[in-house]
Amino acid sequence: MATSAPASPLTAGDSHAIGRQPSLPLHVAWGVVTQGIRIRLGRSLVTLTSVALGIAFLASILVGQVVQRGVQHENDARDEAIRQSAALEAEIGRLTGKRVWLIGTPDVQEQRLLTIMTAAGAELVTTIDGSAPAATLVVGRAPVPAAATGIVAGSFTSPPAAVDGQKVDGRKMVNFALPATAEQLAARADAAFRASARTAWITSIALAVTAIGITNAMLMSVTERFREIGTMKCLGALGSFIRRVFVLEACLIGTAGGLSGALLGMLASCASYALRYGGNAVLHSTAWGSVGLLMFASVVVSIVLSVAAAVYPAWVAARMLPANALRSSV
Amino acid sequence: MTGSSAHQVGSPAHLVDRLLEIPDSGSKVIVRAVGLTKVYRTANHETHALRGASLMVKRGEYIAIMGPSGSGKSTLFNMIGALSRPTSGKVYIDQVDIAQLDHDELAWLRCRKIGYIFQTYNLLRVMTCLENVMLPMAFAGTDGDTARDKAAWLLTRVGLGHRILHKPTELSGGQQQRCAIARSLANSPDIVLADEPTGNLDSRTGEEMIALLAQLQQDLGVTVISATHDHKMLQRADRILWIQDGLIVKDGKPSDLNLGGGH
Repeated sequence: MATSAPASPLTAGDSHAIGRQPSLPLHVAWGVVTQGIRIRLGRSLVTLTSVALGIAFLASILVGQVVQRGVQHENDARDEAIRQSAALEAEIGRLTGKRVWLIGTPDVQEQRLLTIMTAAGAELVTTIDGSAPAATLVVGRAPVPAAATGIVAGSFTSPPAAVDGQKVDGRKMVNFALPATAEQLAARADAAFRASARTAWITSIALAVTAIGITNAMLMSVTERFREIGTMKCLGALGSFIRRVFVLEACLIGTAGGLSGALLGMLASCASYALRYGGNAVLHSTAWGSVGLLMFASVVVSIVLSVAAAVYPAWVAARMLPANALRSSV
Repeated sequence: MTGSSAHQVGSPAHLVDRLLEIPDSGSKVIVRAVGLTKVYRTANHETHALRGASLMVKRGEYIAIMGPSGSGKSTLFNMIGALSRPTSGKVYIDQVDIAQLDHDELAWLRCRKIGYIFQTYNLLRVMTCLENVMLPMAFAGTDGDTARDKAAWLLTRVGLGHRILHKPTELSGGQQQRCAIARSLANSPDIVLADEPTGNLDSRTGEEMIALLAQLQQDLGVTVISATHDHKMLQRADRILWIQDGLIVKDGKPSDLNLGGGH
């Protein structure tokens, strides 16, 4: 007889003969989860793909907004450079044949202006030490050399109004970094507000769509395994163990789906903008720091949504009487 | 099934009285159920699956709970196995009223005291036979090596020694049920509960399972309670409980019961 009969005269209701099930260490749950995912690979991939697609959608919307903003900003700057070059032409006549001394390293906006000026026929002369001879035009950040005479144009920032059009030391100073007018500022603010409102609306729609997709995928993956949960309860699994298994699994799927989805969405978004505006424009005008941050946020959203969607059915399943869990089939 | 035509319906009340008259001689009685009722309620109607079933099982017995489909066998199985709660009535396992147990204690009971065998095997498809048998031991906190050795021994014992690393999906129904039997014995339970263990098997394989259960019952001294409507069980069981319409209407040795059928 393998059963050594406990001869204790226990009365009904006395539960001393019954022990309490020990709580299993985390690595046991981890083993069950990784093994489950590996063996159920096909089904896991379906869930993972649903999560990844949801996050890809979210990430592509978010990243697209950043890329769009970058390209827009670049276009605005080019328009500004064109305006500046037109202002210069109005001041000093046609740019064709004019010599332009570049002093020091030009900033981004000066670089744009130089591109437009040389395209219009101006001749670019680069000096490194800032010792420009008598100049028709000087572009650069460095202090205007004393030797420079003639028309000196630059993006003087302080104080622009005092310098503009004045003669200083026999040179005519032309400031092409003219401040925007009040109407321009108002129009810009209005456009920015519209853009941010549209951004918020599209972002919330994208979030909602993603949330529904991920919740559905996770709910399915848990509820279709109620029978398995019932079996595990029959074998003595604690509810806490079952919850832990499903939360861990959701974490894994959320992380993997989030990472692959964020990458996929970012690539798709950049590719579509590169097709529209050209690869170089996208590459150079995008704020990649923001893109990275948004991709990270998408992964966090993925994990949070996956776990949140798995917790409820796992909790329900863990509380179920085994007979009910065994009976339910999807 | 032809059994239902030949039996004589005894007085249920009388049977309950007779069961409760048996002195509860300490550790001899491993399972006792008193006046179990179970009502399943749906929106439109109530189904009375059990109407006051009582029974007593002694340690080491091989009991068959028999009866036609829908008689309440599986419901009774779930009550005895602490897998579901009765609407009224009490179940005592080893003298302990299981209604008094909390979640952790019920888990312990299901893990150590009772081994379950199901009609549909209910093996975890994602695991090998060995891992399936090791799982209840993992839940009991048994260390890996001990569990592995015992699982391998049990699988050999039920005749699956050559298949321990196969997945259930790679096995025949009979082999899967052998694996499930090994799993039910993993934590050396006092009781093995089987719900239609031969229900999904052909006649010959079913007979093998019944013989295997009987052998394990004798060798390991485990109590086997099997809900079934397989008449092959008649030859092996120590005692038959005949259930009909949610009541146990006959209780006795197979030879004492005139159950008809082919026997």
